[in-house]
Amino acid sequence: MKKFLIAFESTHAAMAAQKALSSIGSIIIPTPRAISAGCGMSLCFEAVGSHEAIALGLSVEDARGLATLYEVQAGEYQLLQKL
Amino acid sequence: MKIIDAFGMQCPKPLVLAKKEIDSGCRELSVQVDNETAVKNLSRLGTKTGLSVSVDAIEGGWLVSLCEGDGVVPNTSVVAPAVVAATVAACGTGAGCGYAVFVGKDHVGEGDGELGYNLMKMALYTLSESDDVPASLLFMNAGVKLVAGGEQQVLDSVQALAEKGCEVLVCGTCLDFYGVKDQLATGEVSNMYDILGRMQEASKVITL
Repeated sequence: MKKFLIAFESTHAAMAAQKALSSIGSIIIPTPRAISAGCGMSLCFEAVGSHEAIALGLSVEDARGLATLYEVQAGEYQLLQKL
Repeated sequence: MKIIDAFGMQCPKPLVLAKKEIDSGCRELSVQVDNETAVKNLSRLGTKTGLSVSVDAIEGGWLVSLCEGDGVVPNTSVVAPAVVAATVAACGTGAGCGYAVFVGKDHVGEGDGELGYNLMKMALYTLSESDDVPASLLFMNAGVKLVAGGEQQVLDSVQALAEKGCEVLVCGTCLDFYGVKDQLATGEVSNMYDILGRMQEASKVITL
C-alpha cells in the first residue's frame, strides 16, 4: 500500500470529504508545512497505487476544484493531480 | 535487582522507565541518572508508590534506588549527605518535569463544534508525531469521550503517545457520568487527585 494526501483549499470541503472517505480509514491531519497551499486541513489515506488514489480522489464530489492530490514518499510530497 | 541505565535521558524518560518497572511488579530497582530533575522525580515516584528511596553519588551522576523496607538497598552504599542537600535544593526550584496536556472537552477552542472536533483530531495527531512528547495527557469532562467510544484516528494518536512514554489519565467520574466507562479504549481510569497532581508536577500545562 502507498500513502497519499489530499490538501484542501476549503475547510468545509475537507470536513465533508472526510465523511465521504471515512470508510477507507482516512485520517484528517494538518497540511504538512512542505505544502504551503490550502486551508490547513488534509486527508491522509492509503491506496494500492496512484491510479487507485486518483480515482478515489476524483470520486469525492466535495473535493472537486478545491483540492490537490499528493503521493507521500519518504516524507516528500509528489504532486499527482488537481482534483 | 533491576538496574536501569538512564544516563543521557532527559525528564520524563527516566521516570517513565522506572514507573513501567514498578507497574509490572518490580519492587527493587536502581536508576542511573545524570540530572537532578530526574533524581527529584524518581524520589517522588518512590514515595508515591510506597517504596523507600536512597540516592548515591556515582561517577557522572546519581544512582537512585527504590526498594521496600528501610530504604537500604543491598549492595549500595548509604546516601552522601552533600548529595541529599543538592537534591533538596533542586526540589525547591519548582522547575517541574515535562509538560502536561489537558483535554477538558472534545473540541479545540470555541465556535463551530464540527470544526473544533476536527481541530482536536489534528492536534492529537500532531502531538503524536512530535519528538517532544508530553509527560501526561489528561482527559476530563467531554474530553473522555475522545478515548471512550471515540474515533479510531483519535485512539491511534493517543496510543502512539502512550507508546512513546506519555502517561494517559482519564477521569473516572466523567466516564461514569457519560456512561462510557466500558468503552474506554486507551488510558488509565484516574481521579481528580492524580490528574491535578500531574498538572502540579509539570513545568507547564497546555489546555486544548
